[in-house]
Amino acid sequence: MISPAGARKFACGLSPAGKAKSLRVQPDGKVLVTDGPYTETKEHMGGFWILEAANLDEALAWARKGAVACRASGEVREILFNPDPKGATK
Amino acid sequence: MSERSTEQIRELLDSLYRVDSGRILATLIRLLGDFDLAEEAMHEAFAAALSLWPRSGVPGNPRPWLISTARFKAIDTLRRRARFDASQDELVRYLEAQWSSAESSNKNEEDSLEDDRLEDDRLRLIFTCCHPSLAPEARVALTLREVCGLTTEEIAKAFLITPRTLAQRIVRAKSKIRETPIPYEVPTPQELPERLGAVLQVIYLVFNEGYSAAAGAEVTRAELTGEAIRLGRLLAELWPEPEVIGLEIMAPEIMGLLSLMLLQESRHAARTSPTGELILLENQDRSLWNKEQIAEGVALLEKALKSGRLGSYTLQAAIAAVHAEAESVARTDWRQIVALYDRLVRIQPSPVVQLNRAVAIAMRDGPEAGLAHIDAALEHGELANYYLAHSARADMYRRLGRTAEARSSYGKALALTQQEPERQFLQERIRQLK
Repeated sequence: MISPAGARKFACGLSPAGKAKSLRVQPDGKVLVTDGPYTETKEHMGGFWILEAANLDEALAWARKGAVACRASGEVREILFNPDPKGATK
Repeated sequence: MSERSTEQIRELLDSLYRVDSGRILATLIRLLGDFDLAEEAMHEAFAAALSLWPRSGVPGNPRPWLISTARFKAIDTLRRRARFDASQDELVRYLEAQWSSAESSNKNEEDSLEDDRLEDDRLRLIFTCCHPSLAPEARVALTLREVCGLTTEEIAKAFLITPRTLAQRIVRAKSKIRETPIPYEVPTPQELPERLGAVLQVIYLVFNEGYSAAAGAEVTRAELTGEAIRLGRLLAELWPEPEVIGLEIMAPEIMGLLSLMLLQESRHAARTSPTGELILLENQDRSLWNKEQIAEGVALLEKALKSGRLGSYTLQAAIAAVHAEAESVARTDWRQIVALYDRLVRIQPSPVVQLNRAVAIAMRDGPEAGLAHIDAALEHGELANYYLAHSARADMYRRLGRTAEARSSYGKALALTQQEPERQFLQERIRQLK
């Protein structure tokens, strides 16, 4: 079972995927495409909106899918798409 | 020498360990030529101090005592091993010879830290751990372990890999150092630009790891930013005065990186809600921003800018400073930010830089303009799997009222974010089943 902190980490989409494994230093050491602590994409926009959009439009559909999906990955989806307890109003 | 209780000695040793173990370890690695041997010997020396000092008293100069004792212990260890492995004999003799020649020339540990610039063993250690022939992940792991003193568990947890994977990574890195061999040296002036670049990159990666995992972050991940800043400070502290030829080029980037980290870290308290949600810039309580870090960051930036050389970290710090000194998102000087990104993209034409520049352009000129630039950045292909590119795009569509396209882009972003945590979650589950 994912801990509440773990769930929120997934839900806000700011867990490891944000590093996008394709963005790596090349073997010869040249930096082609490096992720970095940029305010614009990470604090000004962030992954926060992703969840809200998903909640708004697809919460019901996903929740249904989540309930049917297998336990393992299902739990991830279930937590990801549980509606905001405060009620998504954006 | 005063007699003290074991408890007082323990406290003293704890404090010595906290303050000096990094330096002691770095010196021992040089003297013994081996990471693991040095670490083991150091711990044995501290243990010996704990048992001997209550009776014999605390030595006037604890550090040389510890180093000396550690060497004794290391030689003992090697002698024991030599009983089973004759190849160790040579190493034992080498170390003993080295030691007695040092003794006879009356050199003490303190003396060896003078003459040349960059003679500090800690710099040797940092440069070795960050050697370009090691993979970036290996450099990061090794640096956090050997320079920062984090445990394998702490590092593994911070990077969301298993301790075993991390331990293997570190073992391989140490083997590579031994086998190449990567000499335990500070680079020559000719090598310095590339080598320093590698060190700064490691520090940057460590910081980014902690900074990017903001919402609901494990405490350990947040501590990564602290470790990166500590490393940055150490590097700045150890760096010689700019009078040394050639080095004045690099010092500004060290300051630039440290400035960037302090400025980005200054918002830490405001970025996460008590329940662990991410708070975006426009909703952050700016009274929670750390004013001391901002002040220090700005001061360092100004020093770096005086050099006239605007490297990548210095430019990023300048952008961070515009954010840090703004009253609000609306009153942020996005014009200046775009201008700084214009310069940054020239020296570092990475799609990620272009993407962030595009967001700044959107703030200055509106979402239509921003969208055009994001699309241009995405055209290169490297950002296809970068969820932030898609979420930025989605945000532009959202602001433009193009809801269907926004949803589609959010979907792409979401799909990308799901992969990694889900994969890790499943891997962990499988691991737990074994």
